[in-house]
Amino acid sequence: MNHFKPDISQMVSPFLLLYIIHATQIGEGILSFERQIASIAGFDAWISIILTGVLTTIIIVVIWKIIGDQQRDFMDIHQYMFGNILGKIFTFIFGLYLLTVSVIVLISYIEIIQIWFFPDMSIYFFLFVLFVLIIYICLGGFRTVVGFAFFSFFVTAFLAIFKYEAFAAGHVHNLLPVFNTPFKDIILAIEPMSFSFLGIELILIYAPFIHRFQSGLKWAISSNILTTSVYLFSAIALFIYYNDQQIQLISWPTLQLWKVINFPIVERFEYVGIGLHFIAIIATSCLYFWASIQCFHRLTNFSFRKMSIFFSLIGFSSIFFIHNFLMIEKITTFISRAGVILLFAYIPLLYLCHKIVSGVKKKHANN
Amino acid sequence: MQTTRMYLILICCLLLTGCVKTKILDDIELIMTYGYDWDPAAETYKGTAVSPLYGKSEQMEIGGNFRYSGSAKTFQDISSFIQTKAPYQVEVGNLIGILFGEELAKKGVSDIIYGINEDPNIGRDLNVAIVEGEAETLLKQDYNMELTLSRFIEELINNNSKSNIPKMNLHDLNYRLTGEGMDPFLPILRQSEDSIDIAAIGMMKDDKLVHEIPYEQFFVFKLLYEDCEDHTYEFDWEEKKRTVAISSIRSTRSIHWKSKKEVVIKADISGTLTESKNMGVKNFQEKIDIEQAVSKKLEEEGTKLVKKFQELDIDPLMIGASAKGKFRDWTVKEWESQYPEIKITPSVDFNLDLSNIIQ
Repeated sequence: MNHFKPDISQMVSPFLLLYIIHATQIGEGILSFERQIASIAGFDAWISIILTGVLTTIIIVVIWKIIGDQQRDFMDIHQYMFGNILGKIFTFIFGLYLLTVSVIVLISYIEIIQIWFFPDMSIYFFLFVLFVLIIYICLGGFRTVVGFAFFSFFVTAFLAIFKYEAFAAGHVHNLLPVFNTPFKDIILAIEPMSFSFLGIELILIYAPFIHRFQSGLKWAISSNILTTSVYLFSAIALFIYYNDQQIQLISWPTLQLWKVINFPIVERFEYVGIGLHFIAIIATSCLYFWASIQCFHRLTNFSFRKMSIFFSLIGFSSIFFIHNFLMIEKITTFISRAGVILLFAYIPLLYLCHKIVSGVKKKHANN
Repeated sequence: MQTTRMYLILICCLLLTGCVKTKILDDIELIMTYGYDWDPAAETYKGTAVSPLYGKSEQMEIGGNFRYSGSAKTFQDISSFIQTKAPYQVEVGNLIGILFGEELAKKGVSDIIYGINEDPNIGRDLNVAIVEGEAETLLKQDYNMELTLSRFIEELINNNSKSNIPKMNLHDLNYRLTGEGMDPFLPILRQSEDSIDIAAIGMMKDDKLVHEIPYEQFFVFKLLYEDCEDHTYEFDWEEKKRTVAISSIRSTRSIHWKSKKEVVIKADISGTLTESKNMGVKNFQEKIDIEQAVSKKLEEEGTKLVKKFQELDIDPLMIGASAKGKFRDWTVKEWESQYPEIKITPSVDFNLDLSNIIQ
């Protein structure tokens, strides 16, 4: 079977997986995930973060198993297993999902910009500029997208440090006694937490672009561990800083924490934080957008440039339908459900099917 | 191709201008302190905003203040009402102080506080205080001071937070208003002849002012509330008919639960004898004597304070929150019914580290 193989000039080293995966995982969610998990599991929710980290690591190993030595991507696997038509339908749905994520990440970031910086800013214009930027990065090829993800890695790590204030002014007894929440709730909190870990499903798309893919597993796993520790750090910081009634009243707990940090030149740190977060948002959105265009490109063989302009127009026009905060919330919840199903149900199922199908095919070939 | 691109970039640059409202520092009215009062007749809040007046030339003295006031039922509406009196655009982004009149504090401050919390422009590290009498009269008075009124109040509270009163900014107040097993407290400002001073600490039950503790009890309260350093304590030694001063006090505070109904608040203090009035401490026995006397006195004062808190059913020392972290089956209802009967024992361990430069 003829697999898709990109040119060597488009490929990147396996160690860059550390940056790529971290950049796709940490996006808009880091500003508000603490509230969501605390609403289910209380202040024992940090245990759910560790559990989610372990689960996603298992999923990463499964993805590596699915892709195998031949370094096939999602489209190849779908066609190999479900045939030409059904495989293409599945890939198409997956591409739509990726496009939606890339758009919703942008729109929810613009929501923050509107609330905090410029309430009277035109959202259409800003989204238009963002899409021009995204097309520019995506047309530069996979290497440019990864370059941006590389920057994003340092920005999120840098911003996480600024939660130190919580340890200075917080109350450690908020976290005690440990394990006071029913274990069922801790398990249930894995679902909203997984949304913040989404991004590893993209490996299935860009796997052919990684040089010596099989050796990248250790980088992918260390990236996942790094993400887990960033989330754990920020969750513990915020749980110490707020009490469990207060955190439910705040839309973006991290931004409120930054409100008390000030420097001689910056009255309030949250403005710096939101500004720097832009890079992380663009990196996440770009990777998703690039992946969705790659999906559609592989399906139809239209040129990548035309496809990206077409789909960015679709993404831009979505703003006419998503025009208030309730809709943003609704779509985010829907997408996170879809992502969790994809991650914890579809991918393991795909692996099982893959095992069976390849076993059967091998048997046939032997006969 | 190259020229088309150039044109595109130029057009983009043209479009980028004038998207949002510009805010130039000289052309906005920067509100730095807000004072709120309750008007029982009209059932509205009365807001007084103070913005600094910076000199337009070098000759003009700095430290001037503009005051505006307006009445409305919500925080945002007061701001827009004030706009009708101010020549420039009113901005609240640089707010550094919020004051409440005594009457409003007794009625409850949570309405205003929650209104302030919803404005993304406002920071969390700002000082909140109660004013003896009306906030409006305090803010409208002309004082002869070097700083602007807003900066004066900020510096006054900030500096005292290091030594006399525990720190309480807007975030801490929110934390105590929403949390279980704790009650907030706020410093009370008083207008004196031509200045402002901190008169007391106002203890609140939920969001209502119920009790005030005077300057004499600040030290004991802070001792039982948090770790502190750099304090001065005046000790009246009745048995020897002397008054000595002890300073540079560092203390660490910890809560020990004996059982669900018995708790010890332990404070380990170390300090210097700064004003002994020729008493001197020559040998170990004298050192132990004075240490024990100070500890006993502080324990007595602490017990009195805690008794008062239990009587009023308020918990500014956050003992309930500590119990929540200690006992697995802690519930708010059970705690609230038990709190007045719990045995709270302050235990003070005083250690005299150094003597002074005079023998």
